[in-house]
Parts: sequence; C-alpha cells; structure tokens
Amino acid sequence: MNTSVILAYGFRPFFLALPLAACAAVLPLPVLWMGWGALTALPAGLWHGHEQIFGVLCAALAGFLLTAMPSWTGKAPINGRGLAGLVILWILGRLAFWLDPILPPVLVAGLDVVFLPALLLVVSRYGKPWEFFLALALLTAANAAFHLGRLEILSLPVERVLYAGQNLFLVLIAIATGRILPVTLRSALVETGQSPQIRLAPGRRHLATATLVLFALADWLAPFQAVTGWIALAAACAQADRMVELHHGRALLRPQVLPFYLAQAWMVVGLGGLGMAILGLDLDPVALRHALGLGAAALVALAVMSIVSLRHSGRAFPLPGVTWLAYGLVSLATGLRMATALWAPAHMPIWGVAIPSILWAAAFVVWVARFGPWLLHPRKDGQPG
Amino acid sequence: MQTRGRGLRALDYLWGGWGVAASLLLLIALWEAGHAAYGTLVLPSPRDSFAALWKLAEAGRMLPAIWDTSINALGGFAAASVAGGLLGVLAGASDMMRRLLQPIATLMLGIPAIAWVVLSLLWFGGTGFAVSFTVLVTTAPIVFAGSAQGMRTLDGALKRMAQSFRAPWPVLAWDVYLPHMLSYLFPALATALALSWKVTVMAELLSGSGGIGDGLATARVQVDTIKAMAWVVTVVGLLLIVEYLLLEPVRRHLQVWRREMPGVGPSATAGF
Repeated sequence: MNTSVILAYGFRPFFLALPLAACAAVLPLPVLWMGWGALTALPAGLWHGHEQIFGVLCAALAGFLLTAMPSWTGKAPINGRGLAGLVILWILGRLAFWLDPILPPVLVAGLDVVFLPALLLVVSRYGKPWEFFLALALLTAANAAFHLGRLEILSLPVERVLYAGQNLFLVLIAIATGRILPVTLRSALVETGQSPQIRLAPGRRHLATATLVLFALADWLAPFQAVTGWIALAAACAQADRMVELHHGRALLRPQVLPFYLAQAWMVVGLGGLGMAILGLDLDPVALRHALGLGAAALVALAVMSIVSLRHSGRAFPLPGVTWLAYGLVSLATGLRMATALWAPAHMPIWGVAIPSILWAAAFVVWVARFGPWLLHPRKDGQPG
Repeated sequence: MQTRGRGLRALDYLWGGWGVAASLLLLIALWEAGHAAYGTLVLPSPRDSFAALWKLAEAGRMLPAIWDTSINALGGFAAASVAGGLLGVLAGASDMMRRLLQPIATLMLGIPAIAWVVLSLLWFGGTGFAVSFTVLVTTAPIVFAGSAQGMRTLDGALKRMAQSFRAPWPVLAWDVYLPHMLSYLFPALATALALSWKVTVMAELLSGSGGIGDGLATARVQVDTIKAMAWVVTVVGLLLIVEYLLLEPVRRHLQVWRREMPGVGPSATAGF
C-alpha cells in the first residue's frame, strides 16, 4: 500500500476509512434490539446517532471540504503528514467510541473532540466560502456540547444536540448541492444528448437553505413547539420546490443527478413528517429523523463521494453502474426503517433494525469495493493529487 | 433551442406551488408565534382557526357564503370590466373623450371605497346589488386607466402596415390591437379583480347581505376571534386561488416572451 498516494489529497484517506465507520455505527443496534444485551455504555440510540453524525458524516464532510476548498480557492491542498494527522485524530475519536464501554467517558470525550477543531483550523486557511466554515464551527460546538452534556457539565439533553448536528448537515447539504449540481447536471445533460447550457435560479436554492436554517434554529430554541412544526412544513415545501431544478428529462435519471433528487425527496418526507408529528399527528419522530439522516444525508454523502472520487482520480463521467446498487441499498434501508417504525412497530428488531443495518453496511462495502482501488492508486491522468 | 411542451410547462408551473406553500407556511409560523405571545383572544392559533373553518364547512355555512361573495364580486367586476374597458377605449381613441372622462375617473379613484359602501347602502339597501355596485364604481376607474393607456400607445406604424396589407378588421383587432392592449389592460384587470373581493367583503360586512363579510360581522358581534380568523382564512384562500390558478397562468400565457429563454431550464421559469 502506497501511503504517499493515500495521503495525496483529502478525499482519499477519509473516503477509504468512512465505510468502516459506517458499518461499525450500526453494529450495536441489531444486538440491542434482538435482546442480546448492550454493546455501549451510552444508550445505543445516542451512540449510534453520534457515530453517524460526528463519525460517518463528518468524515464525508472532511473528505469533501479538503478536496473542494483547494479547487474553489486555488490554494494548495493539505496532504502528507498534515493530512495523516487529521485522519489519525478522526480515527482516535472512532476508536474511543468503539471502546466506549471500557473507557472512562472523560477519555472518550477528550479523544473525540479534537478532530473537528483541527479540521476547522485547516479549513480556515482557505478563508472562503464562509458558510462552510460557519457550519463546521457550529458542528464543532455541537460535538463539544454533546460530550459536556454527557459528562453532566452542561445540563443539556444530548438528543437535542444530535438533532442540531443533523439539522446542520441538512443545511450543509443544501449549500453544497448548490455548488455541485450545476457541474453534475451539465455532465448529465451532455450524456443524454441535451444542451448543457443551464441556469439554475438562485432564489429556489436560497429559499430552501434559508428555511432549513430557520428550522435548525427553531428546533434548537423551541423543540416540539407548534412554531417549529410549521417551519418544518415550510422547509419541506421549499425542498420540494427546489426539486424542479433537476427536471431535465432523462438527465434526471443519471447516477450523478438522481441521488440528489432522491435526497431532496427524503428531506420532504422527513421534514414534512416531523412538522406534522409536532403539530399533533401520531407519527414517530425518530423514524422521520431517519428519512433525513439515513435517507437524505447518506445518499448525498454517497453521491458526493462517488463524484469526487471519480473526478479527482482523473476519470471522466459516467459513474460506474455499481453506484446504483449503493444508492438502492441505502434507499431500501431508509424505506424499511421508516415504514416498519411507522406501520409495523412490532417487527422493528428484524425489519426495522437488523435488515436495514445489513443493507446500510452492504451499500458501503459495495462502494468501497468499487471505488477503493481508485483511492489507493495514483490519478489515471498522471496529474498530482 | 429545446422548448418544453405545454403539459410539462403546466407541471412546472404547478410544481412552483411548493414555493408558495413554503412562504405561506412561514407566515403561519409567524401567526403561531403571535398566538403564543398574545393569546387566543387577540390571535387564535392557526390550528384552532383551521378547525373552526372545517366546522363551518361541515355545518354547510361555508359554500353558500363563498358563492354569495363570488357572485357579488364577479358581478361587479364584470360590469366594471365592460364599462371601464369601453370608456377607456373611447378615451384612448379620442382626445376629446379623454379630456372629458379622465378627470371623472381621477375623481372616482379618489373617493374611498368605504364611502361608496355607505352611499350604495343608502341608495339600494342591504342587498347583493348594493355590494356589486360598490365593486363596479371602485374598480371601473382602474380598468379605464389601463384600457385608455393601451389604446393611446398603439404603434401607429404597425397599424399603417397592417392597413397597407389590407388586413381585415377582425385580424387587425385580434392580432394588432388586442395583444398590445392586453399588455396594459391585463395588469389593470388583475388589480381590479383582486380589489373586488376585498371591497365585496367590506360591503357585505356593513350591509349584512350574506356572504363571507356577513359571517365576519356575526363573528365580531359574538366576539368570536377564532371564527373571525376562519372567515379571514376563507377569503384569503379565495384570493390565492384566483391569483395562482386564474390570473397568473393567463399572465404567463399572454407574456410569451418570458417563456424559455436560451439556457433557461424549468427552475428559472417554473412556478408562481
């Protein structure tokens, strides 16, 4: 294994390590739901939520930012030892959580809180775009608040911190897709024989992002209040409104476009359902949170990982067909997780937890089996990075 | 350049309803916050108001009220469109008629709608006709102004060219005069139609001649803020339906040049 290749660009080590964390993040859930005991000191739901948000999604974010920001700003990417240091900090956080039952919570916190500030420090070198920097700073604060809440230094329900982290990721997805979609949509238009000249109206994108920011704020300041419910419904409608950006005939069905569309749809389902649950409808909010995390965030993460790995390994579109399998497995896992919790809660251990966990893990195994070799080898076009 | 078919354009337009819904839901969130701050007597909660609306509909009071208000509003609006439109054409075509009619239209625009309500109640009593008359006199000057402006600004060169080709007068009216006139007349008609609902509700409230305004008056007497908000929601719903399902599609149909510029996909042109 050539470490200089792996450490040549930010996406390589993070996207290689992420699937392992993704598989580990669901491992304790079937064990708990099948009644075989608990693998974690924290309640399993909290442990799982933290690992999905601050472990898996933050790795995807790190890989994306450390690759995209140098491209956007023209500044040199971080690589070599600096990148290795960041990856080690991320791995230390994961190890701490995997060993959570045997490590003291203070040590787990100490090992886990270092990665995000370090990433923030690295990203701050680029100066812009400020919105990513701000979101990352808030994520850093949220992770710190999670541990302070767990250690009872702050009287803060840690579930709320996790929800805040998830909401921040929704905002990040809205911002990031605004930058990614024009590129991927143009390539999809060319692939389907259409004119690549498109202009996406910024108003829809900004409305979608602004409503998500409002929802994140309301959900933090007034959780389960009717005001938050209406704002969630508004955010759901704004995401649905934005879906029209991708109505470009057969281009919508290309693998670099459809996952973003499906992610928007999951956001509509999740936010709409959450809004209705808050306003009094008998719906399970945790199931709806999975539409946002497992559905929207994971699909976007997989799509971004695929596109970044393809482009920055010196390859041209189209994406390999196996990405469809990964998207399909995650979508199926989301559908099963939600539908079982909402309509067949008695079958949760098998159909709502065990099978979705297997599907989720399989999606990342499939992904790394196809893209892993690209990440381990130098760029196809011989360029550095 | 690829152009989208009529069906797809209609779908894109309807899809834009999500954006409208987002905006309205944010307003409802603000309403909910107002309710939380000031209580039910000042501002009932949205959910209570929607429940009251549902009860009114179940009790069979909603549809007759909507029907009465619509008949009153549309009757007055139709009369105003015909009278204001024809007089506007006259004023646009003839300088003498313009000098004669313009000051009268300005004067009528200056009279507050509430004054017309009082006068028409005195003249015609508390009937639907009084309401329609109020709508007629408050909205006709708006249509008049649009129609006169459209007529006055007709392109003389274009007219002469059509005449030199001996275009028959129906073709002249349909293909030369009407498209130009509509670009001035349609905004005036849209404003007049939106105004006619508001004037109707106001006149109904004072005249007690049925309709949504009458329902509002009853809610006021009973100090029933929830029911009052339910009626307000009804009239706002009517206005939104008229705006987005009638006026805006017609506006887009007429403004052909706004559709599908090169490089513009559905995201730029779709929706409301």
